[in-house]
Amino acid sequence: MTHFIHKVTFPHLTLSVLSALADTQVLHERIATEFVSPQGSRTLWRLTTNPTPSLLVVTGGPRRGTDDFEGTVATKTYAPSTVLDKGSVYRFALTANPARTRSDGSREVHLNRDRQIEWLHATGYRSGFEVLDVTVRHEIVPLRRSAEKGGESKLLRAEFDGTLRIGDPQRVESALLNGLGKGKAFGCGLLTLAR
Amino acid sequence: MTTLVFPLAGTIQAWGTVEQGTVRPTDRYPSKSGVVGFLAAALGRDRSQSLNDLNDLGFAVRVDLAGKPVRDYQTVRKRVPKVRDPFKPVAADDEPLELKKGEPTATITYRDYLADAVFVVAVSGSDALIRELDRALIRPVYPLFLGRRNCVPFPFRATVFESDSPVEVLSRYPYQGFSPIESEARRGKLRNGEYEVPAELDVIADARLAKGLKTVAVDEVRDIVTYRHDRARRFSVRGRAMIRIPTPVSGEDTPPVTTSDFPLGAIE
Repeated sequence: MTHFIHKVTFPHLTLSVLSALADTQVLHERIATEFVSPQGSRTLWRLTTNPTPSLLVVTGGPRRGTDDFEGTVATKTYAPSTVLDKGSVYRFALTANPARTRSDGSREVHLNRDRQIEWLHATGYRSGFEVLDVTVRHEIVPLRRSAEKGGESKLLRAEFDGTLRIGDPQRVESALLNGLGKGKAFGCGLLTLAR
Repeated sequence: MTTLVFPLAGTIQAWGTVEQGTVRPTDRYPSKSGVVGFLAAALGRDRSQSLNDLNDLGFAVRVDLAGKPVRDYQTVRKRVPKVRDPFKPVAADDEPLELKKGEPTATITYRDYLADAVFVVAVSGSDALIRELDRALIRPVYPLFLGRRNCVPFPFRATVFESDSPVEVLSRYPYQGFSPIESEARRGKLRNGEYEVPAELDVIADARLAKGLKTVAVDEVRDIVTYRHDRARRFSVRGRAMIRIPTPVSGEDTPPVTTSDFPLGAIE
């Protein structure tokens, strides 16, 4: 399956765009409608502000493209396996929901920075990479959903930045294309690499 | 040594290099002390911390749009809360504040600004400091302003160049003279071939950086911060040189240069 990566920028920050960017639920809906991934793959996304807002989206298929999507989209095919080598060191960025699932099924979220970093190391080990150094910042965003979908709740989003070394290129590719951790519908889980 | 480049643009800017009084003038270009303060605010340095590492940065600023001087007439009156007898009822027309006794009724001040100016700043220093500044400008600790608190900057993204010469980098960084406020009109004119981008731009740099270059003018300005507590600010002198460089050629409305936008693994 060919994956694609899309970079979305917003040359005109209209009220409609700003209110979508401010509300995770709305952003999720707009992205899910516009960037469809076929069965067997997931749509992953991440919002960054540097300093103007931009979105990075990874899909398992080409973009469906509606006419009224506000944002300029640049798309490229995404095949990380062609560039990953075992043993190479890369910089990485990951926004994720570091948490564990308790034996009774409930989620316990890691608010402590050290536990967040431990979570990343453990996740990295399972996904074929070794974290060399990392910094983390987190924020708790409100999730306003309708009553049927669970009502209002909060989501912990931790932003990890640092360097890693590839141990198992295949597993890392899987991590890049399928995401890490929970909350993938709400902007978590997308891992990206750079030189 | 690396160089950090970023544009300073906003509706109004004010860069004072002269003693304070009731007239607050602005120089025609950003002062080094002003930019050092800007960077210190981004880093979160408080007033007790030294700015020597920032003062040592190589500094040059390019004038992409000179801007128009604007003078604001502003009066200042000191007001204090009125002391009231808590047992007396409050009259319908009672004011909570009154003029402080002993103060002159109004002090007249004239504050000068530059309107619609666009400058590009380049600072050079050690790798570590430049990268720290790059990160700080993305998420500044304190709000950033262009000389005075009421001068809000337009959002920008700084660029890091692997060069140790601010002047050399400014000769490459794309022209930014399309102030967003006027951009629609300007871009239209540029497409129609009516708008003229100047052939040469002025760069005002630390005197020591201009050695061997075509210098148009030199002067000295008191804008190196040596002490910054409010009532006892002190500055020392810096030599400046103005040189002219040919305007960098760039594509139509190129936004500032950014490093690769796509993560590793993306293919055309």
